[in-house]
Amino acid sequence: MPANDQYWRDLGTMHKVFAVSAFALFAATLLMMSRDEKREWRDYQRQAEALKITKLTDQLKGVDSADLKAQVAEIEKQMAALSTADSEAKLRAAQATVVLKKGNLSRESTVSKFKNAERDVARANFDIAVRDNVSDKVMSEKKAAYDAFVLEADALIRKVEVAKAEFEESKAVMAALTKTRDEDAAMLLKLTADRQGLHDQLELLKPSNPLVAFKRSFKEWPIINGFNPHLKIQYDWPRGLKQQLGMANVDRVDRCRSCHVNIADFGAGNVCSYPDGDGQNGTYVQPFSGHPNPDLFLTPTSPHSMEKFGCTICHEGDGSGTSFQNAEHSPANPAVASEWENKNHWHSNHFWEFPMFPKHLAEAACIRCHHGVTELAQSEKFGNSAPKVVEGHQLMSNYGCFGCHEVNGYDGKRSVGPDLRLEPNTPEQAAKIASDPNAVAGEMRKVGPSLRHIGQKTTVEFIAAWTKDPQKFRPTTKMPKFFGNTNQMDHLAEMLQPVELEAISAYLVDKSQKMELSSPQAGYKPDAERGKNLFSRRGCMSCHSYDDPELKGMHANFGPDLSRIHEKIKPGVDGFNWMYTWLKEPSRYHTRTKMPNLFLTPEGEGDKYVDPAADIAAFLLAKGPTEFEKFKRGLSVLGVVCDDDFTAAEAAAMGVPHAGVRITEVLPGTAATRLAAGKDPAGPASPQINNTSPVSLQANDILLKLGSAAVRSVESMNDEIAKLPSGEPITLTFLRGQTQHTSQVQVSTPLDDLVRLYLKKALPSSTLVSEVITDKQFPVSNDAFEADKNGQVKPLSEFVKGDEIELAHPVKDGKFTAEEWERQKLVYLGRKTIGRYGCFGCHDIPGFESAGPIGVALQDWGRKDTAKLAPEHIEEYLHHHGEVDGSSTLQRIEVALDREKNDHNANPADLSAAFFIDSLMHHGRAGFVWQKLRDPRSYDYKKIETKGWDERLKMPKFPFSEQQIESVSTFVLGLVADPPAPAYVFKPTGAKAARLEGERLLAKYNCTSCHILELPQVKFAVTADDLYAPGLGTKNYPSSLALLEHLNPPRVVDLEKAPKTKSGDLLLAVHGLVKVEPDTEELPEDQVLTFTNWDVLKVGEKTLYPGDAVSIPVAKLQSRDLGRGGSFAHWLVPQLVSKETAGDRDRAWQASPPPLIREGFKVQTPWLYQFLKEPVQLRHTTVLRMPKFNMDDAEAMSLANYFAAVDGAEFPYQSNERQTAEYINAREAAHTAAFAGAPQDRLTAGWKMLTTGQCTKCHQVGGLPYKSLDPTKDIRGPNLDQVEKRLRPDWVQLWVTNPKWLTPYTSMPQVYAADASIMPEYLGGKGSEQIDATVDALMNYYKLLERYGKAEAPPTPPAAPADAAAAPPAAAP
Amino acid sequence: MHSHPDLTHSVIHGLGWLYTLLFLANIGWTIRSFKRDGDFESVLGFQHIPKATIWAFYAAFLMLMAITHLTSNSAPNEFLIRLPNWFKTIVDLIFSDARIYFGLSILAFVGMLSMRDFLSGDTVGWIMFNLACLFLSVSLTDYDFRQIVGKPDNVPIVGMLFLVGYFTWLYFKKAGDNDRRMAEGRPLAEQELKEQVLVWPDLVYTEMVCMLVVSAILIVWGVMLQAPIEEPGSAVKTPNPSKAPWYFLGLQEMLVYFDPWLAGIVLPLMIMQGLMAIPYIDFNKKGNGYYCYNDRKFSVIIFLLGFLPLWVGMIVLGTFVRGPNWNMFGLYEYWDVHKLEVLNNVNLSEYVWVRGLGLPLPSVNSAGGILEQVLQIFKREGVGIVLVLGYLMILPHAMALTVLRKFYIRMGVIRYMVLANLILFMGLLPIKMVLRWAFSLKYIVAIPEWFFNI
Repeated sequence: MPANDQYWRDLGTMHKVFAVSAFALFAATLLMMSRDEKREWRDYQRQAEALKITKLTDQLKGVDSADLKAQVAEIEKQMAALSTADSEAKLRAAQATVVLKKGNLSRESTVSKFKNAERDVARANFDIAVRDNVSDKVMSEKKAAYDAFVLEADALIRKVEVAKAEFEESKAVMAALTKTRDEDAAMLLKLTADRQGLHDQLELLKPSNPLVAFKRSFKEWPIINGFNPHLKIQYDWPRGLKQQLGMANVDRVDRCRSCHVNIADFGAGNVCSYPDGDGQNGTYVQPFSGHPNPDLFLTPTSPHSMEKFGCTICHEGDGSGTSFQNAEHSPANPAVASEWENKNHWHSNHFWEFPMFPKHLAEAACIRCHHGVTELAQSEKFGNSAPKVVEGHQLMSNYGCFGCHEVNGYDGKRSVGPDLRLEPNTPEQAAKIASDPNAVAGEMRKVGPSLRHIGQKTTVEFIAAWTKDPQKFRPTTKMPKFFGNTNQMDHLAEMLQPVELEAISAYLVDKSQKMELSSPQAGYKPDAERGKNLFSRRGCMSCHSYDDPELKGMHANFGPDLSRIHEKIKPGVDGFNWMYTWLKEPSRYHTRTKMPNLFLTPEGEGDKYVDPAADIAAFLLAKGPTEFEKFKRGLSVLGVVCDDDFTAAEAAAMGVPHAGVRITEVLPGTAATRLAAGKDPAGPASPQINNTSPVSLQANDILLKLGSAAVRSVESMNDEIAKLPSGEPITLTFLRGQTQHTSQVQVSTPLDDLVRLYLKKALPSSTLVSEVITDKQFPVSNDAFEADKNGQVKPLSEFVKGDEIELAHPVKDGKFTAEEWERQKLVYLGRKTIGRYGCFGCHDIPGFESAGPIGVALQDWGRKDTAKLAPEHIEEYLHHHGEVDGSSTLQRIEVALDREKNDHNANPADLSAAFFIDSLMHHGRAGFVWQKLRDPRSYDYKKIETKGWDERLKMPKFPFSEQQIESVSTFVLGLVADPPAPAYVFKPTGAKAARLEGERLLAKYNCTSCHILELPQVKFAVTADDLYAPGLGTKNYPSSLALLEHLNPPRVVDLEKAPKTKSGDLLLAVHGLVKVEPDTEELPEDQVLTFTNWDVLKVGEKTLYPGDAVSIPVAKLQSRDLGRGGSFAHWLVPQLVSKETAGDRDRAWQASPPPLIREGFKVQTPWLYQFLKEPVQLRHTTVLRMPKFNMDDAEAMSLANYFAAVDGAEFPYQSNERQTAEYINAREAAHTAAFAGAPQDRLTAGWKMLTTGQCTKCHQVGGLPYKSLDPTKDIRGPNLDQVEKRLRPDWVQLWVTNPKWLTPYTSMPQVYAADASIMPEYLGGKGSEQIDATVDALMNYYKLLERYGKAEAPPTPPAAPADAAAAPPAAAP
Repeated sequence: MHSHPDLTHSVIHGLGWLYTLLFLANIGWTIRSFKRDGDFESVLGFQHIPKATIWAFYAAFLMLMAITHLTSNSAPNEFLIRLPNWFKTIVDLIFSDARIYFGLSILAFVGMLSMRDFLSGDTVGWIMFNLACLFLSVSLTDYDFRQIVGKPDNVPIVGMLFLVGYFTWLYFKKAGDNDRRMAEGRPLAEQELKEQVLVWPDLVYTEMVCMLVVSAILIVWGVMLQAPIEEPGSAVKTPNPSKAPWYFLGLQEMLVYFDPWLAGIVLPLMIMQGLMAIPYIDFNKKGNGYYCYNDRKFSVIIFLLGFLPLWVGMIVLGTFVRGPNWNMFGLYEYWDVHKLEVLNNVNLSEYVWVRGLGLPLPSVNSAGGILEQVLQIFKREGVGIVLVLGYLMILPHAMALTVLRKFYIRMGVIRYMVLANLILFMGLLPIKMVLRWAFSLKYIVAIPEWFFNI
């Protein structure tokens, strides 16, 4: 109550104000609560629930079939029938017995338990007595007491057992009575379990009981839902995956599943319960659908389980966000963005530094942990799961981006990302890194050829023409374009670029080191036609292409296209010899070249002498060299651009008389900008130059006179100036406005202008620069030529540190002649230009051995602070230009976006571009890198006007398509040098590691071009009955099947489960090689493809063995592919078939690079390592040899391990049981027992079979020389002295048993066939024993050779016709 | 995709609601005016036209504006009611040039004091409020203005400006009223309740209502405007511009003109100590418990000078005008990070030695003895040191003898000196600002060797 009636304000009004404010607060509170209730995730969870209810209801309907209902009713009827009055009474009686017996058991158990306790007490008392050391008497009393208890307790335990047995018996009686009923109940449960499960789930979500339903909805009410709600935020805490927020490294929490409710809902077998789609036909839209590719993601059995990884570690974004906006979703393109803006109130938030990757860039995240990248491309289980980022990595590696932009994958020795760095350039650098415990050396070779000896290879004109626009000469080249890009379209560039190109060539040729060239034997006449044949046979085409009608069909782009090589190689004998040397021994020209040594050694004698290298060189150079544009050297210029068409009308408009030429632009750094003053170059005797009115030329000046001659036209003016020597003064008379000025300048060549530009940076004043130009040499202190106190003269480079050394005369007081000086200036400029463009990033260039990469390192570019990107005027550029044809990129995007928004039919490439452009407009990394790759110099748009010539951007333009650009961008964006935790970094070990490393090397050396790694596959429709399987036959030993199936695990086709065509035919896939191609001249229905199967293929009851042919009518053919690798072999075989083997396809295969199928089981790893390092000639049937690659030890080792790892064979070392004494002795003992009285021991028998039997017909063995009986027919096999070291025993065993099981095309016969008996004198003529002994002899080859010495050459027998017929010409693959 | 459009449908419609609110407020004002303001005797021959007619017309205009905005469905870039470019250019010029900005704010301050009686009228106050609202709403049609003013961070500052304006107006209104009362010999407005405070229910009730209203406002504010969270804090990556909390933006502005130790430590301490010292310095017994201006002219002017142009004015400058790279931007200017300003400033010693005498700066031998260094530094910085010492030590005495003679006599030496020094320190800021703008003067005394610059 107030103290008195005095009020400041009217109480009535106050009440009203109070009421209003109270309502306002109430309304504010309601607003707050309603906003809370309306949070998106609640809505999504409700919708997801509704979807789940629909799904469950549908499933229930599916389960509730009439059939099931009938079955249930039947069982229920049976159960009802069972319960008669009689049975019920029996059951009740049995039940009563069970109860009684159970009671009895309980009672007896309790009594026994008590007695046991008393016994235990007595024992404890005894133990205490022992501790207390009591008298013997007391001890014995205690013991007696214990014994008494034991007796009683045992008696009681027996009683319990009796009671238990009675109880069990009563139960059994009971069970017997209810047996049928229990079974029925179990059956009922089984039948209804699915339904019950679904029903239970549905009941949880949508209770049928109204009270429960009310309780459920009540729990969703505001306020109430604060207590144990069923709609709630879902948390995932991936362990150990911290995230960086500003300076803090905090635990990651992902609440994504609050909205993406079903994302990790998978059924048994990793089947997505809510497949992603358009919401129709059982598919669901986000956020209700499940994650794609459950084998790889989110499921517990996948490598990236939900529990361990969460979401944002891959997707980025803000995992703690619970709204569409706060999660920092990223739209895939601006059309999606505007859709989101309307639908989800989305807006871009540049404050969140790592927004979610849009779908098309999502793969970027993979390389945070997968630093090797190869594993993403070549997973045994998942195939290529990240094609885009893999392509980006490949492009970066192949195009040599790392030459300028290092990607250092190591922080000390810790792997933090993919590693793309150049290998050390010199042995000193390598040694330095090797001695640093915290450094890992780079491994990449420079991608371009070495230019160390380029002077001998090609001409300066070609170098310049090539460098100017490499694609013009060779459209497929990987070399990017450094000149003529968008920031080199101005007049200054027009003037300076040719000089720079000339300078580059001059430098390269000047510094080119002499290389000893080989030449073919004197008098040898190379045959170009034969060269072409050799070119196609000796493997060149597995890496190179050549445009020729006879060589069509094979397109390899591992090495350069050689179609125009003749144009560029030096003309004459020098060029030929260079080519010859390069072909014969590539590493002489370039020590780190990837071009292998193909063993192009001369063969034959006399007339048959053939030098393949010379022939191929002749073929390649047959068309002769081409002249490339010559340089226009040394013409002076003034450095102005003039109006070519200065009309009288224009002059009138300017108010000047129509005379002279109008200057439109004065180029910076040229003669026109330098007023001649001071010292006259002509010498001190000439009069000093006086500038009467010292003003420089400007745009819009009218140049009237050069010296005393009037200027008439632009051409005449240029010609006049070009005549003057550089440095010559000339007086210019020109009109500015109405005022006439005269100034004197010294004309200059563009070369001098550039030299001046660079010298200015090296010298403190422009006077000194002018002095260098006039003195024709760079000043060197006299100390440089003096011996120091040790009598040593230090190298000049100690005194002239920079590139200026090229301008310093190497001799004290030496003088360059005018010509030398011009040359030195070019070389100096060349060195500057090469240094500026970083040519040495891809090429080995003398003088740049220690130069480092010139570009920005990219290892953490994906996290680069966007404020540090300089988009400059890119928006203006893209507004006006940006497309290849010069049209506006922004307009292209706008049109595409309009189409997308209106009709949803925009071109996906345009939409992708729209994403990047939008990112670029918002200063995003993605857009920046994308545009940088599309048009690297576009960031110089309208910047070159205010930049020095040497400050212009210099990144070259690579010949990438937009899709390739996207891949490279994806890769670069994924480079964050920030693996989430060491435990998550993918570090394969053992076979996995060997496999991945091998895959990398296969790509590096292009092995797959020659060798097939996976056999071609044909798919065709066939009925199981029609499939012809000849079976094992009588020639083969059933006992060897186990070995076959071990080395070639059978593929089993289950007739029930196998895929079928619509007409019910079996769809069968067979791996192998084509035997006969369909004859296209026949009627289509008569065409048949004959295919040789290489697998053990079990189709139902039938088995196809390797070598079995399958005939497939073309109509039944579903698909065929070429498998993996061997494109050259596939190309070569038909060539050989038609030209050399007279239609014999098997022989053609024998002459081609062998498929490397199950190579791991075949060869011993140490041998393969040796072979890769130094490939010896194995086969005599092939038209080419395994070349020698420029491979280092580690690489050869990895590749050797690879093949074993792929097949699951033992590596890196193998033991050979057959060489152990235990084995030999045991077999010997068995032999002695079986063939008592045999003239020789078992190994000797093996050796004899080897050295006297069939083997010698084709193989060199036991030191015998190979001697063909009929050179036209015989096929020479490999020398068998290799076998012991080369092959694995199991493989050899199978090979000798049946060679066609391993290589169906081989000519090697089955020597010891089961149905034939040869050489009965050995091992009782038992084929299987003979095989064993032969293999053992091969495996103990050297021991036996030592024991028996060189085998005797058999007397040349008259050709035994029977023998020859039995044994067809043999050869090994 | 392209640069952002000035107008969008949502902006136009939002402005429609703003005009609606202003229209409703002016309906209220029209009613008030009709009741209180009386009539014009004769307008164009019509007799006794209520003055409220003008307000009615104005309200009708606002209603039309509201309707035009709310019903606009045509392309936003064709909408006509927007700020003309010439206006933007003028305002940009004023705001982006510190000299004009500061000069005008001082002028406005002087104008406010001299025209206080006129400005503190009810109708004038309402007109000023309306003008402010119209300025704001028309300006909101500009994208860049919206970006700055509409940033959730800056919303309270806009509110603060209205509050500061209102309370300054209120003070002058009450003070003017009391001044008139005193001049006419009437009792003061506060006189009636001089001996009592009405706590129950008035005060308690009022506080309760305040609590409710403030809670409601905070809740609605919190719901409507999301917290302006930016990127996670990082010492290696600071935002550009990097701004102090709004209440410290005045201090941050000082950092432009002074060394951190002065602007960040000495001057803030002086401000706090000065505020604490006020009761002890103030010898004027008048003005206790009532609003007045004439009795406390000196205190009011000094306080308002310090508060309005030097504190609030600097906050406005720091909030709305300082952009990327701490450059100044007009209210309607795009905050382009690439904008550059000439920022070459020189020290007084360079003026004396280099420009004045044409000599190099005397060098200081850092290896030499302290005394040697002191002498060398003094040689270099002598003029500045003398000026500063003169400013702080001689000027108070000079003022004691001249303009502040009365104060000196009444306050005694110590109190006077404290007052004089506080005022002089306050004066440092505008003086240094003017010197910077006029002469690109960096420091008056620059002794980087000892990290001592003034």
